[in-house]
Amino acid sequence: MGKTTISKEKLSKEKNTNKNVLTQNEEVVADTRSTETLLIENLKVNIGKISGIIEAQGCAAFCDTNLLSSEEVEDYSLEFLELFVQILGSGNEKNKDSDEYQALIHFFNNCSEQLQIRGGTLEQFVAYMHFLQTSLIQGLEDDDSLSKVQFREVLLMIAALFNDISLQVFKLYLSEKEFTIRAQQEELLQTSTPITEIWDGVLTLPIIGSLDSSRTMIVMEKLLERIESERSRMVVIDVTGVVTIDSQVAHHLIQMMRAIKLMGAVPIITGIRPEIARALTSLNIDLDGVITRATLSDGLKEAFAHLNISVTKQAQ
Amino acid sequence: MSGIHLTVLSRKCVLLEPGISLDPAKPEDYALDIITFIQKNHTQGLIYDLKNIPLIDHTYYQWLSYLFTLCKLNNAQFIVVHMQPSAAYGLARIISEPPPFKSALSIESARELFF
Repeated sequence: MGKTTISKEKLSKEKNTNKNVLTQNEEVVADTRSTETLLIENLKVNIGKISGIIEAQGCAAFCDTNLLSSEEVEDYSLEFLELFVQILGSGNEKNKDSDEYQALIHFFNNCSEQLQIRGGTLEQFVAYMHFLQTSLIQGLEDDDSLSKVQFREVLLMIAALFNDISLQVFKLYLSEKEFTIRAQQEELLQTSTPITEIWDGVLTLPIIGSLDSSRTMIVMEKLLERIESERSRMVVIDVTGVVTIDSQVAHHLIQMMRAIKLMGAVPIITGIRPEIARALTSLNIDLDGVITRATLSDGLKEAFAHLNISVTKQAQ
Repeated sequence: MSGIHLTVLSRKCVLLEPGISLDPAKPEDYALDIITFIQKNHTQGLIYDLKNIPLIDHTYYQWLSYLFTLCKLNNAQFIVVHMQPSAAYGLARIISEPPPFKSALSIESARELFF
């Protein structure tokens, strides 16, 4: 079946005239027409009215809040109707793999993305889809050539198609959202473990917040890479900001100390809070061979002492 | 000596570089050559270069521990250098006790530890 396209000129003409284009002969065979054909013909007849409704409602919803301009609403309206007619014309409205179906999904995804980028919400997008559907149904209401059965079939078809599309778009929206959340978590993780070379050969790592296994692993990986690249001989890990610790994390911490030693550097842990010390003791975590100091300042002094560096106040 | 290369760095210090053909599962195959070299050169420290070893598994760890014991029996120190982050990360996860041998960042650091 050939694809039907809607040009702006044609739309404008039809908006003005809005006359019934069905001929006498076509009405005679109306009973045998498929649901898709009925809908296409109805769209042809009411295209001006439907697109007018869509544009007016689209403008009311998005133009005031600056989410979309009136030109964009008009373009979206035209594109939607064109794609909708194409999918009906191809008879592929149930075939999710068809080009026409994918094109319609792509259209809605683009629309959803654009709204999201500009600060729109999912609710606004769902409302947009809803009034697209309503506009099509309103267009049908004035069509006297449709019998009750045909009207019902067309309604069911529109509802099924829009439900499918909503589901697809919602799935994509959720996966995009999950991707964004993961990316933000990753970024947060990177920024929450700042490894700084505070002196030649001395790395410091203040750990803030709660330590879990995945975070410990990432910290360990980054730290070992830095030891190698900076040729650092001392590593001061400050855990003043660590609130809780469990046995698994405590073991990871010990593994971290061991890995630092294996690299040839000396680890120093500073700022172990009383709660953490109590937890480590009750977990029977052996910190033998690990240098610990009360504060970051003491840890740095220890690191400097290892490197035979002395920091003294200049005499005035 | 196939699989390992020994270089005298100084009067009492020897560098061991493992080759591609080294089989860490057969430490005895290399023991005699290493002991002979250590004794002949009056070696007080053996430096094992790990720069080309991306991962250290149980077998390789056993091989390193074997070399440590070998050195100890000959009154020599054993230090590994240039351990890769991936190797340190992996090894730290598989051992439950600290390793018997020392590690150093570089050959220079290792030599400082010897003397």
